[in-house]
Amino acid sequence: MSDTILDVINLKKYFYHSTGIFSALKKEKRVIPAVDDVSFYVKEKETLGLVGESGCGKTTVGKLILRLIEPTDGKIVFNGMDMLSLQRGELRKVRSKMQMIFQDLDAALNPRMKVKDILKEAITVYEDLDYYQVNKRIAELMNQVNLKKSKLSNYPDELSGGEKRRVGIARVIAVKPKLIIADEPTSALDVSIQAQVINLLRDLQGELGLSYLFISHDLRLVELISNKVAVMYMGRIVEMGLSGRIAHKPMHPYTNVLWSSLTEGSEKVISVSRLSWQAFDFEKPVTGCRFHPRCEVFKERGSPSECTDPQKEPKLTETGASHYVACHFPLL
Amino acid sequence: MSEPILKVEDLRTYFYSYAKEAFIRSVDNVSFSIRKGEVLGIVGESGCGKSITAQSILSLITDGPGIISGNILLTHNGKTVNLLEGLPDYVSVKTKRKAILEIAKDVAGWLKRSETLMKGIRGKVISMIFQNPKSALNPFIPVGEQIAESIMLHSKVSAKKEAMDIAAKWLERVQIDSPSMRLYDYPFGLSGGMCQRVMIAMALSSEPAILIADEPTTGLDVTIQTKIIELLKQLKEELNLTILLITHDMNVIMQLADRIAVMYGGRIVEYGLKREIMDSSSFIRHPYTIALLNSQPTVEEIKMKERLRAIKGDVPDTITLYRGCRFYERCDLKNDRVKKKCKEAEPEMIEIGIGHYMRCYLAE
Repeated sequence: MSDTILDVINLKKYFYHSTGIFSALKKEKRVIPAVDDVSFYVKEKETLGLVGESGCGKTTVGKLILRLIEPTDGKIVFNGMDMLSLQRGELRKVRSKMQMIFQDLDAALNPRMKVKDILKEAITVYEDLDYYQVNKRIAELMNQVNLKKSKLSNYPDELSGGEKRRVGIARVIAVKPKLIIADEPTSALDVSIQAQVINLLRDLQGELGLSYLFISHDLRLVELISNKVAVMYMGRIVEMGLSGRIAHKPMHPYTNVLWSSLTEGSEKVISVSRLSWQAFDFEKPVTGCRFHPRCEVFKERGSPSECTDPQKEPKLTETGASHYVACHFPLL
Repeated sequence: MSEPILKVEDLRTYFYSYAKEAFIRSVDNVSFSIRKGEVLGIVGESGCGKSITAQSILSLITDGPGIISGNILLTHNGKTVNLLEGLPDYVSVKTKRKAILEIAKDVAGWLKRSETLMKGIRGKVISMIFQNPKSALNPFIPVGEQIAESIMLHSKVSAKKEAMDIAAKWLERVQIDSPSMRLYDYPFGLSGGMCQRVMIAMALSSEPAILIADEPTTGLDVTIQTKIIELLKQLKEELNLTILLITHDMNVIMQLADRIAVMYGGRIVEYGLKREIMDSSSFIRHPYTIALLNSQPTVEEIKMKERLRAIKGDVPDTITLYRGCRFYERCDLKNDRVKKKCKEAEPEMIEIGIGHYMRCYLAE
């Protein structure tokens, strides 16, 4: 078994916002538990997929791990180091081993820098290399991400979406990271280009021994690229396990609904058409299980009191073969 | 089978690039037709001219100078109108620069003149829903008022209260809960899926003959995507809607379309009924259609964690004048028999089955 590279324990991030002048006077604060008690781990050279609808806190988890935002509570252990106790200088060093691919292609690349300068900047951030070494490294990177050398003198807006994404990936691997947090790396790309990017990410994983935290709402790709998948709902992980099991033998009703929106015609499908339009809303607190207002099992069983009891919010429990589920009535 | 309600013949939409001193041939000689109650899906990668085709139909092209030519025949209430009536004739791409600018000026003038005609058609006979519903709605006006405005503009209803009542009915039709309350919500208070449904309600409130849906599901969550597709399907049955669906997602096409046009580099490369194009047992399919379908992994492939079959390379630019087939560089299926021909001349559209057309030498 390989070693654990990232361990996230009871991670919490609450956003506060006051509602207006009167509630501010009363010192009333509204809390949005964007990430609420999330625990998982990523092993070396493995990929953990993180899925969920938009707004469920996926991206926040990614940013918390890099400490781009400070968590409210919890523990993040990366490579044996406690991330939360690190000082600025140390954090900078650690970040070279841990990189993030951001969702927005255009915002991630400086429009006034040529591809060559973008890569050069990334290479020389942590290493002091001379001109020839830098050029050699740039050539190596361009080769790794299958980009033509002629693109080096282009500006980002002269590149296509797929090329921009590859420049982004080249920049990330330039610092020789061990863990890459890929936040929706394929959204906003065409299907054909998506496939190129996914193939590239998988090739690089083999070549460089990378670990990925793959955040996406594209369930097919998540299933394909990940060894394990964690499903998030309203700031919590509701199910976690091997990707094949999550996709084909889901136990949480929510996971079932998510995947059944893809594989129509398979057995045990709770049709999406019966799932209500309304996604979740952090502003409207739910007591008990967070999913119960949309849950089909809850309706079928005639609204059992366990699901709505605020004292008994379901906890992530192991049901065998490293499959975890947070539900009172898991599907079998 | 019913008569075509919209017939597009040899549509060309070119933009002139001053920097490159050449035309960007976004839509190049595109012909198709839609029958009443049918869903035509236009599919292709980004930059292949899908959206420009839709915008040309509604004369929403404002960026000049350019060239629009061809015929767009709209049959409505027993009358057939050519939406591109009176456009200056198209001349070869190799025309001198001065002459081009002259034509472009004419086109710009024509676009202005056609406004009067289009005002009676846009939103009334042909409605459109856009890719990004949040930016398509006015953020300062409650959604109900926006729908009511459209109703008052296109029908005989003149009282605002009455229009609001109709708007509430339409919101109910698109499955929005407590519609009479939602009328007074602003777009920022609604989720992405809800905004898209408001857009659909607004587009349909004038009871148009044709609905153009430009990427109606992109940017939405998977669960909501499926629900939007189901809603469109249901509305299509109820209202006998004709839909021109534009998307790059093969899944959406599979679920909604009756007929498919596959576009590549400004041209339609394959056109026909869905069951013929998607029929995997058929030997003659365009290599690009196959590549598009293959780039999405099947359930089996995902299970086996196989390598994805990506299309190599990128979409071609539409400025360069290629001699041969536009898909030549990326094509995996070209063989020795046709290779020479592919490189030398662009294949013509040939009929390979009933109403099934294809632009490829392999079909010969």
